Amino acid sequence: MRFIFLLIITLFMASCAKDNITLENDVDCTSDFQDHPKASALQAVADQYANDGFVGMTLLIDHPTDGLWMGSGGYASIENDTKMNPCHIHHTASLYKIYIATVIMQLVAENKINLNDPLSNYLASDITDRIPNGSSVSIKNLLQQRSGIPDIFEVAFITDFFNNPTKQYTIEELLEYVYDKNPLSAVDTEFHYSDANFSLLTLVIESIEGNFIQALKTRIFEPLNLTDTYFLENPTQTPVGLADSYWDRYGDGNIENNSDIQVALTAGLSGSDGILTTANDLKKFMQALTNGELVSNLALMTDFLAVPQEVQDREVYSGYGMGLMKVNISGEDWYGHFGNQIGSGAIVLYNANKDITFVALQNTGTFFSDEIKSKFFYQLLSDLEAIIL
Amino acid sequence: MTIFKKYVLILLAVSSSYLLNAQDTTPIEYAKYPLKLSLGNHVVGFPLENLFSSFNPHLSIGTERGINKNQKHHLFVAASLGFFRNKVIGNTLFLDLDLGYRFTHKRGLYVETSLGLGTLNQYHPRATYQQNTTDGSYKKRNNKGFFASSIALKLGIGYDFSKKSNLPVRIGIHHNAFIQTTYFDVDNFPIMPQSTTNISITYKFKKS
Repeated sequence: MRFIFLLIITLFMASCAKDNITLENDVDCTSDFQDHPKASALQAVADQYANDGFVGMTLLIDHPTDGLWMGSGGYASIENDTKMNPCHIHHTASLYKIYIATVIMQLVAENKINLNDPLSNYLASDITDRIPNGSSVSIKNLLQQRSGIPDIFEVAFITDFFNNPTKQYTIEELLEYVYDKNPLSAVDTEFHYSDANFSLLTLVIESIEGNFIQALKTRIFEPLNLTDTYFLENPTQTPVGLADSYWDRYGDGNIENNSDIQVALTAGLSGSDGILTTANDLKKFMQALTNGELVSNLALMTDFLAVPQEVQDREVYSGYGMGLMKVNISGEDWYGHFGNQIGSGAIVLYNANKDITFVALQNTGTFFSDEIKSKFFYQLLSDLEAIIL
Repeated sequence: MTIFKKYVLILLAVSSSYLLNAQDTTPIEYAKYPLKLSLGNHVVGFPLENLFSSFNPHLSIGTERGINKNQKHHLFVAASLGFFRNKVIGNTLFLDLDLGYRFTHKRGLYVETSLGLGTLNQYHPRATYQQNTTDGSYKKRNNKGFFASSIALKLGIGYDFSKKSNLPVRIGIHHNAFIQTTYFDVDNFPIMPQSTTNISITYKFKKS
């Protein structure tokens, strides 16, 4: 009797183990995609990166003739000995900007927003009066990162972060980091990547829709049936299947689990972060965006303006549209976005010429490691291009 | 509580005996190396920023040696060995060497400043793992810490009891701002600015 009881408990626990996650994905998470003509080469890349500084890595390539390939290497959790699975959920950091830009463009199509309207048409003067260039900046300037507003995540934020890394911020509290500062440039004269631009756009959505999280759900997550995509509102309510997060703090190959901090940041950086998703859901979102299901005027979003050379050298991307980056490493244009965080990194890119979607999600911090950042945002795409193009 | 009261009474008795001896104007000669104990709080931030935004106890023990004999304008070198507990950036052992200047008013009030170089060993605040590159597995590592150097600017204000009494004690409040020269592997944030704010007590031993 005791044996049967123990057997039942063991079977129950095994069914709950994280590497056997059963999500709502409409793909087989356990498939090795061996029918794909480049399966072994692509899997070798995932394994190689998981053996070279990245704890775990999930890659997805959707090619018009080769078809879909998804694969993972490394670990979702070192402590629990859980291998990374293509259906694990990941933090996406600044990929948030594509979702916000999408909702803004939907509101433009519905004539609820005019891109050339000043920000002050939507937000109260107690905010716009304290934002650098706040009286002259337009919605379009914010989307294009040409507002001249400094970034939130500079040294002052970072030192505060190290005194209280799990603090939960409101958008207004984060905007305090740029209030009353001098603008970096006049409006619409220079590109300056700033999370403050999208924090303000989030407030614009709230001013029209009431609640921006609800707007994301009703306008994007639900219509596309993104059942494995979550907006993390509370750090204690993480979904089952979320990969743990790690960082190599000193760049010396010693990996630490920083999941608690990463989860707190995803939930607590309101207006800059918050979306958790899987590779497959990210693919579905990107393809819906690029085939016109979500916005009617994609041409406006993909009207890329060149970014300064020093940004190109440091951050890889060469142009910025409206919530979308343009990336060209070896002659091929891709667009999408990078997500750079302390315990994760995310990429979603689309190649319009060849109709290829590329997603990479991994759980080692890129924000505080130039080496990991460069490998992930530059070397990985370069290696994959050699296989898939 | 009773033990605490007992210690306070003993401390008061010792202090008053020194203060009562203040009438004795015979100059006292002190040994070269006083003992300095500091207790305070460590934070991440630039000078005078974030002073009490988090609680991270800091403790150090040190000494100093005068370079000149001028008691009003005193130049000194100091050394201190200490520890701070910080669950975010890592518990840290440090050794500082400083070159300082102290102005002491005849009534005992003093201000001081010093520049310092330090070395520190910072321990990972969490378990660390290292990858076995042959099979990709991870193994827990011993936490031996991470070696770094620091540059410090220190400011202090306090009172030297020995100027007006025979109490061979100096107390002070000190703000020590320092930058740790290596932390993250990033070009745009290569240093980690930190500070400690302490109260200190320095005991000057009588020359035997």
